Order: sequence, then C-alpha cells, then structure tokens
Amino acid sequence: MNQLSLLLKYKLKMWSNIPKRRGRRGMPLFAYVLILAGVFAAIGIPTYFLFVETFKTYSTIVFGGVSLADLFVEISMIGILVLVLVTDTPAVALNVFMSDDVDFLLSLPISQSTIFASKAIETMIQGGFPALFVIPVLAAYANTVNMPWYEIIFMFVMYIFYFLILTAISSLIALGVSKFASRSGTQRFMILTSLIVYVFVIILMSMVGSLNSNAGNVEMVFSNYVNTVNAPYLPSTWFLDALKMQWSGILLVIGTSIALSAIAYLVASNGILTGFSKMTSAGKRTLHRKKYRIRRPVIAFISKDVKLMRREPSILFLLIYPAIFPLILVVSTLGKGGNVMNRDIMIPVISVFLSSMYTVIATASLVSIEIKVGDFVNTLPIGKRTPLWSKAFVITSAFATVMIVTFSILSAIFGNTLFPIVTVLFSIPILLTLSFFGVYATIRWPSSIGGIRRPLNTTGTLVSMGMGFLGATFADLEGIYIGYNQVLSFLNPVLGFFVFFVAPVLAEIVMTIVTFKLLSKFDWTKPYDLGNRKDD
Amino acid sequence: MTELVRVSNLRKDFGKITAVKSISFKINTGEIYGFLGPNGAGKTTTMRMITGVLVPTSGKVEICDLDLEAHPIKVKSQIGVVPDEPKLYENMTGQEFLEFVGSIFSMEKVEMMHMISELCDAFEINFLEKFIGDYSHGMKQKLVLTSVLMRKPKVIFLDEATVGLDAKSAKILKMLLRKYADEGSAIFMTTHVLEIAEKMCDRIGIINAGNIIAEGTLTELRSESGKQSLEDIFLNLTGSNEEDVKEIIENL
Repeated sequence: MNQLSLLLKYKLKMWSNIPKRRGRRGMPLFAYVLILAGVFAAIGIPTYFLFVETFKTYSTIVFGGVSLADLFVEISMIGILVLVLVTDTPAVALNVFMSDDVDFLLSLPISQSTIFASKAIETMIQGGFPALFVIPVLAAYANTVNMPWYEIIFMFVMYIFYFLILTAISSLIALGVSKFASRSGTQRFMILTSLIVYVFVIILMSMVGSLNSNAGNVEMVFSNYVNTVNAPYLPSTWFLDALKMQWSGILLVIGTSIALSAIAYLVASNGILTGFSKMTSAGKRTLHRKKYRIRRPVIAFISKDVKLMRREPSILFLLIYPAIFPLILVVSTLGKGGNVMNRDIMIPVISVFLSSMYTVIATASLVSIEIKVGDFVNTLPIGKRTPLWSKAFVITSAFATVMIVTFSILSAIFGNTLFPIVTVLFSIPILLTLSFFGVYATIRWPSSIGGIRRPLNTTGTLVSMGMGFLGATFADLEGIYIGYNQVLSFLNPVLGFFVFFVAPVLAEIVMTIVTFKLLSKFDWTKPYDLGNRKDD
Repeated sequence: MTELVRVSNLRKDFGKITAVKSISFKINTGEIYGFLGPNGAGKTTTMRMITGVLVPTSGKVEICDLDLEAHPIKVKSQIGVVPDEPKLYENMTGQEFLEFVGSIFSMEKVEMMHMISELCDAFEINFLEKFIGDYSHGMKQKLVLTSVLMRKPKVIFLDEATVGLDAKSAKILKMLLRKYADEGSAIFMTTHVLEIAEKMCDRIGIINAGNIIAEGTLTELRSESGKQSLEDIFLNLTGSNEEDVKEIIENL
C-alpha cells in the first residue's frame, strides 16, 4: 500500500510539474478541483432537472414492468460502458501500459500487481471524469422513484462496483491489446472504436430527439430498444435490478466486479506485464527495393502532412464531426414532419460552425506533431514558413472537402443545393484564416501536456473556439444572404445587404489581417524549440 | 585543401545564461572533426547553431563558402544532420520518410533507390514498411543515418551518432564516415566515447564552459599537454586529473 501511494504521489507530482517545466507557473491542485467541480455543476445541475422533468412527464410509459426512468438509467449505464470500454481501453493500452515509465517501474523492487494497480488508478483518474455525468441521471431517478436516503447511498455504492466491472474489463482488454498490437495498430484500433461510439451517439440522439414529441411517439421509439437495452446479460440490467433491491442484481454486480478485478489483478501479477513488447518484431522482408516517388519539395511536404493528418486519430475525429452531426440531425428529424426549411438551414450552419471551430484545433494538432519532431524540420532546405503554410492548406482543404461531400450527398437526397454550396464556398477563406490562427494559437497557448490530442491550453482552446465561432458566423451570414435570401424578406434590402454581406466580409478581412499581424510577430523558428531544447 | 566549414566567434545567450561564449574553428574537405566536451559544455548548442536550427546571438557560420544567415536554404541543402535523439514522424513508415527526405532534397530517383538499397544492406534495415512509432531507438537511428548518408552531403554533422547502434552497425558507420571524408566530405561529430574520437578524428576540438580550450590533431594535443591518451588530455584540460578521479572513487 505504501508503494502504491508512493507511485501515485509521484505521478501527481509529475503532472503538476509539467507547467513548471515549460517555464510557467503551475495552477494549484485545488484550483483544478474547483474548475472541474464548476464544470460538473454547470452540466450536472441542468441535466438533473431535465431528467426529473422528463421522468415525471412520461411516468405513464411502462414497457412490461420497465419504466422510462428505468430505461434511461440502463441507457446511461450502457453509455458509460461503451465510453469506458470502447474509447478508454485503447487509450489505456497506448498511454498507460505502453508508457515509457513502465519499463523503469518494472526494474524497481515493486510487485507487478502494485504497478498494475497504480496504472489502473491513473486510468480511472484520466478517464473517469465522464462517469460522473451519470450521477445527475441517477439522482433524478432517485427523486422520481422517491428513494429513501439509505437506498440512495446504496445506489452510489453499486455504481462504484459497476464502474469497477468496466475498469476491470477495460484493463483486461488493454492487457490483450498491448500484448498483440503494435503502437500504431492500437491507434488504428482507436479510430475504429470511435466510429462505434458515433453510431451509438446517433442512436442515442434520435432517442433523445423523440422526447420533444408526444407520449405516444416516445413510447413507440423506446419500445424498439427496450429488449436490447434490458437484455439480461448486460451489467446495466444487473445494476437496475440491484437498484430495485433484487438479490440477483446485487450479487451479479458485486460478484462480477470482485471476480473481474481479481482476474485482472492476477493476470497482471503473474508476469504478463513483463512479456509486453511495444512492437511486433521486424519482418524478414526487405522492402528497400520498392518503388519510390520523388515529388517537388513543397508537394512532398503537403503529401507528408496529409499522411500525418490521415493517421492521427484525434484529427480524424475532428474531421468526422462536421459530417456526422448533419447526419444526426437528418436522422433525428426524419419521419417527424419537421420544418424542412429549418433543417435545410440548420444543417449547413451547424456544419460550418463545427468546421470553423475544429479547423483551429486540428491545425494546432498537426503543428504539435511537427513540434514533437523537434529540430529535424529546421535542418531541411525549405523556407521556414513552408511547414506552416502546408498545414494550413491541408487542414482547410480537408474540412472543405468533408463539407462539400456531406452537402453534396444531402443535397442529392433532399434537393436545395444553393445554400449549402454557397455557405461552404464562403467558409473556405475563413477556414484558411482560422487555420493560420491555429498555428498562432499553438505557439501562443501550448497546453502544459504538450500533446497532439490536446495541443492548446484552456485559454487557447476558448480563444480558438471564439475565433471559430466568429468566423462561422460571418460565413453563415454571407451564405444566407446569397443562397437563402427569401428568409430575409422582412429586412430592408440595403440593410440586409450591409448586415448579411458587407459587414461579414469586412470582418473577415479584419480577422485575416489581425491573424497575419499576430503571426508576423513571433519567431518562426520558435515552434520547433518547444520542449526540445537541450543545451549541453 | 578547401575549408568547408568556417565558424567565427559564435555566441549564444539564453537570457542571462551564456551557453556558448565565443567559438571559432574550421573544418577542411576530407576531414573528420571531433568535438568533445563534458556535459553542459555547449556542444549541442554549437551544433544546433551551425546547422541552422538555433539562431546565434552573434558570430558567423559559413558552410561551402555560403553564409548560413544569408543563405540558409542553400546551406541546408549541402549538409546532413544526425541528432543524438532521433525524433521522427511516428505515423509515417520508414519508406515514406526516406521518400519525403529524398523529395525535399530533390534527389534523383534512381540514385536514391540505389543508395537506400546499399545502406539498408549495410545497416541490415528490414523494417522500412513499418511505422516509425514502432521502431526502437537503434532502428530510428539507422533510419536517420540512411536519410542523411543516401544524399552524400558535403558536410555531415553527427551528435553521438553511435549511441543505440549495435557493434556491427557502429563499425560500418565509422568506416562509411571515413570513406565519405576521403571522397571529399567534411564530418563534424560530437562524442563522449574518446576511443572513437582517438581512432576516427583527424582533428579534435575540446569545448568547456562555452569556449574551445584546445584544438588540433591528436599529435598536437599530445605534445601540448604532455599526456599520451586522449582521456588523460581531456580530463586534464577540463579540470580533472587522474588523482582527482581516484580520490572521488575512494571517497565513495
């Protein structure tokens, strides 16, 4: 136990030292806790009231003994299960079991089970925050079914056992993935698993979307899922049974969590950790006789950035959002006889908003890859701005392509091509500007972790989101003016022209000038010095 | 004999700290120049300034008769740099990386493929189809060496290049560097392994606290210091002698 607390203590110390190492003052631990508590309260309290209201509104809906509140608890539990198993597992395999300090820890006189336990706790700290967001749903459930206080405590104890089941399964899968997959293979696994999450999100969104409809419609939508969600082999079903004080549920949740945790502990204690290899052995095939392609230097750089972008899961996720959200909107409005005009406007508008905000972050991620590589780029015979122009070009093209493809498909299905196409065309210049702003943001506000997945600190992320929001607003206003001006019939034509076209264009120009002014101020050699300076 | 590298009064300040005070040296064509010094002496900072990675506070660097500050791209197209810690694009394969470097340096395709083939055979590289993120340190080092040596640059800079290489690859590297020097390249290498410097280098510069404190051929250094081995010369010049070392060991 002493060794475990020592390992965790130094891990916390290491995390808190990262900002200091970057020459910046670290934020005290309690400030982080306060921020997290604030975020939790800001999201959790409205969620609680929303669910209390929903459960009471639809209290008459019962599917063979399972109420809508029951079903929502189960869906939340499945959501956490998907989140932990599907997204955290490869992350655990990649970041924890394959992390550099494992080899060092294994060389110390510490038992493997202690190392495993410390790594599992690290994972829970890193990935457990989303699990807190189930608490408002559980609290709303407790309120709806009038649970006495001791049952509420029991419910949260059960939730801890439930979370242990997920962590144990996740750790076991991570152990397996780490054993058989390479680092890059694990990254590809992450892309695949994230797509599963998106499918889950689409289903969930269409279910949540139905809550605005009448009780009959809600009943119809959820009746399709009740058998799947309430399947007896799912831990979420055991959890619900436990909340209803059924012994079978209680025993299954507690028994399974203890058994799986013990198996994970035993597997880790019996030397499997030392058998890990960070890569599969090199093949015997010699490939140096393969054909090579020589390109012009600038094209070579762009081609390299396209490859890095395609292979970086965090950037791919950002690229998927502007395509997937219109799909969610379409799915959730299908067959509901909703306002078609609103849908036609909302889809491009949301997509442009997402593209604009994620352009900044995606560029920052791509720049972070270059920063990680360090001095190498500076030793190449290319202009210092070439790598940064290349990144802005690649990211802008990628988001523009995603939007064009998405809207082409949707327009082909639903008609009305003018507004989406005009909006996309107007958004391309602003995406380029925002991409350059992403370059600036990476240098100005690097995250203390300095990672590719989180390239910007909180200030940088907020400013970037703000800039993205502004840029998207300008592009959308221009798009509405040119492509959908029938909605502006209530306005004086001159005023409409000024507000929806001249002002946004001028604002875009100002934003571009400011971005390039900001960029011209910093030393272009500096990005590649971050964290890489070694002066012996 | 042509001077391929001319470094004059190079200085680098990081805020109030001066990492390199005033360094001047020259490297001729066909010469292997060893740059030695204790930890924190300023070796890597010097190398980063000469290779255009770090802008010096003052001083001048000329490579192949070109001023680095005025013609950075032309200079960089003449040099190859092997860092001590190879940091590469983890999501690229080795083959893609070599193709990228070949394109950036506008190499002839046939020549590039021939050189890659030769160097892969020499360093026993059979992992080019794998992602760099899956490479060990030694594999990355071999890839970087291949990306530099395939171009046959006029000047090669190596920072502890043998670290991480197996004995055979290290031996091949040493022989290749000698061959490249004999064919007219200039080699600048830093190393902590004094035996390597003793056997390979035509001239040696010893840096301490940001200044070059001794420079010359091994024979010149021996006659100046009165010591025979490079280890003794080095320890003597950097403020430690055999008695000091013995005392430290005895006190432990």
